[in-house]
Amino acid sequence: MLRKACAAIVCAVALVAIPRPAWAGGQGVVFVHGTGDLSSASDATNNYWSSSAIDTMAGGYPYLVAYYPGASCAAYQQCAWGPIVDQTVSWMQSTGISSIVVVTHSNGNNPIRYLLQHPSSISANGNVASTMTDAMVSMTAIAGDFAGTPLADQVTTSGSFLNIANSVVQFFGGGSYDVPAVVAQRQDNMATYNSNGTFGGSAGASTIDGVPTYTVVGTGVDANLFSGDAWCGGYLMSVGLEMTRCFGWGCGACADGFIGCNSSEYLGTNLQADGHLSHNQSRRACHGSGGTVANIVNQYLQQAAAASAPDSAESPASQACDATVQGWSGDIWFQGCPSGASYDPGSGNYFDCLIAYGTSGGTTIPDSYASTPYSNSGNYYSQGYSGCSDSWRGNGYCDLCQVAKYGFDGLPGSTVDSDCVNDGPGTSNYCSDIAWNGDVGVWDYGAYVANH
Amino acid sequence: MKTTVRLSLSVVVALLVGCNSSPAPAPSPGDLAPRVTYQAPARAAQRGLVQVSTPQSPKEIFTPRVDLPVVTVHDAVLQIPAGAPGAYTVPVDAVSPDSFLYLVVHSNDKAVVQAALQDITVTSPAGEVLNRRAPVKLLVGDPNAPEQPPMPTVPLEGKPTGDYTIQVGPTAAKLDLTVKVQQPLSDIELRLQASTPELLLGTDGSADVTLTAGGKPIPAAHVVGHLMDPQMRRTLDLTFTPQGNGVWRASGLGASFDQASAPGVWHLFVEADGTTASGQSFRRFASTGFDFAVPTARIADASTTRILRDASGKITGFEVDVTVESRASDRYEVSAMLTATGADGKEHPLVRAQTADVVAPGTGKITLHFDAGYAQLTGLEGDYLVRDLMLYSQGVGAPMQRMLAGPNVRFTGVRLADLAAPAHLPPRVLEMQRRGLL
Repeated sequence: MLRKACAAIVCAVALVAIPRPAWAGGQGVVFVHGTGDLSSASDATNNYWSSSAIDTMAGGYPYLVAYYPGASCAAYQQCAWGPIVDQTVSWMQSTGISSIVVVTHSNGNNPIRYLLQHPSSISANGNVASTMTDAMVSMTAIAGDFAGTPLADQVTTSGSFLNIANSVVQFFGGGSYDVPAVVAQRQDNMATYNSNGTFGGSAGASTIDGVPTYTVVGTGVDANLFSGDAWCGGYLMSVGLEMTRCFGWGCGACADGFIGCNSSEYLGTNLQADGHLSHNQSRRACHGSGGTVANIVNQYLQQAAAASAPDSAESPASQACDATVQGWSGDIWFQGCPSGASYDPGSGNYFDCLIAYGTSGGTTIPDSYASTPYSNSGNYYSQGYSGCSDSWRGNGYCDLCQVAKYGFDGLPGSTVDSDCVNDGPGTSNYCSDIAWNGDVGVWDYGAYVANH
Repeated sequence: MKTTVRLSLSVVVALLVGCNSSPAPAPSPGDLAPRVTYQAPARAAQRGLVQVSTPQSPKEIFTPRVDLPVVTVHDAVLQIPAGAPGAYTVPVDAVSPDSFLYLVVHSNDKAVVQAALQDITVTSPAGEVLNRRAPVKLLVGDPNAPEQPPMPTVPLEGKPTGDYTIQVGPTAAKLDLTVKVQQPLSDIELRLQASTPELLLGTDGSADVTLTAGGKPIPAAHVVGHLMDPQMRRTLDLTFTPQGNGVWRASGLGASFDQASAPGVWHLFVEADGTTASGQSFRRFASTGFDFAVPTARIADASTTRILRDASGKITGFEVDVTVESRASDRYEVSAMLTATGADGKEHPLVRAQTADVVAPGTGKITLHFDAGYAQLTGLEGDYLVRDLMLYSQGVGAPMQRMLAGPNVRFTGVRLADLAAPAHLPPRVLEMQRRGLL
């Protein structure tokens, strides 16, 4: 970015006891597939999800695609949840990631529900479940099978629904119905697990043991030959799932062809209920579902990053770019937040008070970023009115507009200090903030150096 | 949330805050208690004490009961086992645009399925054959074109109610066949409910079938059932006895089990058929389940409590020692919920504690630790109650004992000002705070 002006403003360093989280680190996404014996991350990526769907849903954050024997092992068995814990803990340790959002599809939520209900469990490799569950800030269950499916009832009784829709057998792990994970997804099995303490989360709850849980639900299947929606993920699969929807629930019923809404909406807060989103399409990010997941991933991980960022919870004076300081630097006048000042949302005065304190005049950042002057591209004259660009994240300059936008200035998932860390006496920070450009008489985005 | 191995550095005192316990309260729906425990071989389980304390949202309401699953069905299902060719009837009692008759041939061989379907004829009460497709040779103008197999899915919209005939020929009769009639708007309803989600060897259970038509009890019907084991193999036939008011009951389920019975979810399949007061014949099928386990341990005592304080006198934790009597080496998990009554007069959860370790045959002590800092985050004070005490076998994957109302242990007169701040705030807890859940 173009730096309009620089000035030396000495920032005081306050050595105060600041309450901090007992953790700090990066953020990432863990994807957990449904029924199917997947033997590697690439197997799970290519043969269950798709790489483009994963990329879309991860929202730019680092991610782990977990794999486990999700057909030969029922969700409550150690051989199902154990590998998920092992892979997640290993990944967190090797990358420094400490906050995770878990994204599941179909039966994939159930090993996670087991872990949340039994955090004292230990995997075969010795990893404690709570090491993973403590890091969970939310779970999003795409087409989640919380309460079982009548199709599992059917295939485990008759051994087949081949003549109804053979194309969907892959959702039961490739065609063999006589496997623990399919039996476990019978509706009577799931009702038992939901009531005898096997799985966490009760009907209608918005959280599982305190972890906010969201759902993306297919309420119908579009198998219209002339509909573009029907072709996403494969047209024949859409046809097959429309047939199984009719068979399992009724052609007008609320179901995605494999999971009924009574199961996928059993608990959690719904983010998307879509009549054109089959069970196959929801794992392939079709019909905007990938964007829905990415939005919630971003929401949680940005907040987690802000909470964990080293520049959070600082007193103004110890912040890297003490925004309480007011004054001219050449033709540039930095508004600052003088003692006793407060942000006036109506006039826009003293917006630096938001940066200094996180909240002022009843407005809180980053939640209310959109209503602050930092979101107004008209205040970025020398930047060509570009507004606060995400390309400035983690670029070495402490952009106070990024602090307003996200609560910190760092790359998503980064484990290194953000740009707005005060490294102590003798160090400096390059800072950028909205300031009055006296040269041309407009609000602008200018820079200064803060020496500590 | 907070996973620790407790050391003895905390100051164990009870000053203003007291603890008391008295005999356990009356059982709640969903409670589980072994009558006897059984010896069993040691279960392979990971070793190591793990003690976890997890904050709960006080916005939730704690209810000391578990609602038992109820299965409700309106569809008609007819199972035709492999055998001799013949004609079978299935009653259709309600027809709507969403009504279909499905033929499910029990085979994964496509050619076999197609041959069987060729050998099945579905005829309506009016004598109309419903599952024939239009002759292909007429459609394509080719007299030599092969015939399409009959439809496995028959739309019933516009068709009459009554008995439909399924004619099974010699080829189809070699296979099991399921006929399912989807009729979501039928007012003839079968409800099935087991008395417990968990049946421990040595205890008993039952299952009730309720039949209604238009909301009124059906006084007479033929109700039969059987058990399927966790591997979906048919085992014992059950006798359902009329209880009056449209209810039939299978009692004495516990007698069907012994130590050799397979652990896991057993399935109770029920079929009912009959005629309503208005003369409408019907057929219903439903299944429910319950988990079966051999109890190898029980909670012998949960009355010893402690209040932990730091050097400044602030409370850091509430602890309950749970004595577990074990007859099989296993990794046992004990969990419980700490609750308090809010200003709304309702009981709210504060902190859930869970501790697991291997307990060899004999007596072992498992200590539940409720982090006082997490209780402080909830903002609730007063009497803290220990609720939903559960003993769970991690080796078997089944609960062994559950007291939803708890062991009647409480920490009385807790003041927020006396509680220490939480020592750890992992991402999950911070997120709960940010979301206003704490």
